[in-house]
Amino acid sequence: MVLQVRQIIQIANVVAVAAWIVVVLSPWGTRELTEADLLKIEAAFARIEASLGTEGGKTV
Amino acid sequence: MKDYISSADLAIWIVLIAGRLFLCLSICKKRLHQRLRWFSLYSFAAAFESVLLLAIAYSASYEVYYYVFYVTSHSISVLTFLTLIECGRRVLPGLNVPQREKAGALLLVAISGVVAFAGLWPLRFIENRIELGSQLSVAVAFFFIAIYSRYLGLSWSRLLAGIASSLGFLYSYKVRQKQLRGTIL
Repeated sequence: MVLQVRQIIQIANVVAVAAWIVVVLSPWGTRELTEADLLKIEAAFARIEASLGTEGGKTV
Repeated sequence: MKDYISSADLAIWIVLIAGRLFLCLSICKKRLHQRLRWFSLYSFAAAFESVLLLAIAYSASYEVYYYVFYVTSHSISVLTFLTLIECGRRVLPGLNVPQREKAGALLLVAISGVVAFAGLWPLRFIENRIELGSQLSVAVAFFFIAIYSRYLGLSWSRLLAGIASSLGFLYSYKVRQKQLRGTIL
């Protein structure tokens, strides 16, 4: 019975390692950055910079 | 020592070592050590422990194996605790203040339940009771992080939720093992 208990925890370790391999290697939750995404980000930054420049002009 | 190892034990051990080594390679490939330093260190240490213990099991006495197992398992426990803190630091800042208070209260209730459970479970030695309580607390804390990862929109398949829930299940099994051994021996 003790031997079986010891084997169960070793099998649990194997299952945990398998789960970690899946979550480490899986592409779920990550997304490739496309050219269109990059353009959107650049446009957003340009708008932020423009609004900051306008605010700066008002204060000066 | 090798006389105590059955062929089934050896087969599971070899599969575990292969899995852990593959996990280390996966961590290096994905450069996870730059994002989750303590979990990566935990994985490398666990792989090293498995290989070292297998080598000692076939080359040294039971006493040597016992002392090496004692030192390495406690080192792994320290790394698990640091991984718990690392996962918690990633998840908890995502909660706003009222939800954080509610979450803290729920965690406190769960830990109180763990303390009561460890105190009331029929174990012969106080050391076993402390070990049972601490392992169950770690399991509860990992489940707590995994549930809040889910609450924040991270599914179980996402990295942090996957790591936390797996470690939670693993420590739950360890608690079950302690219960069975404590009841039998």
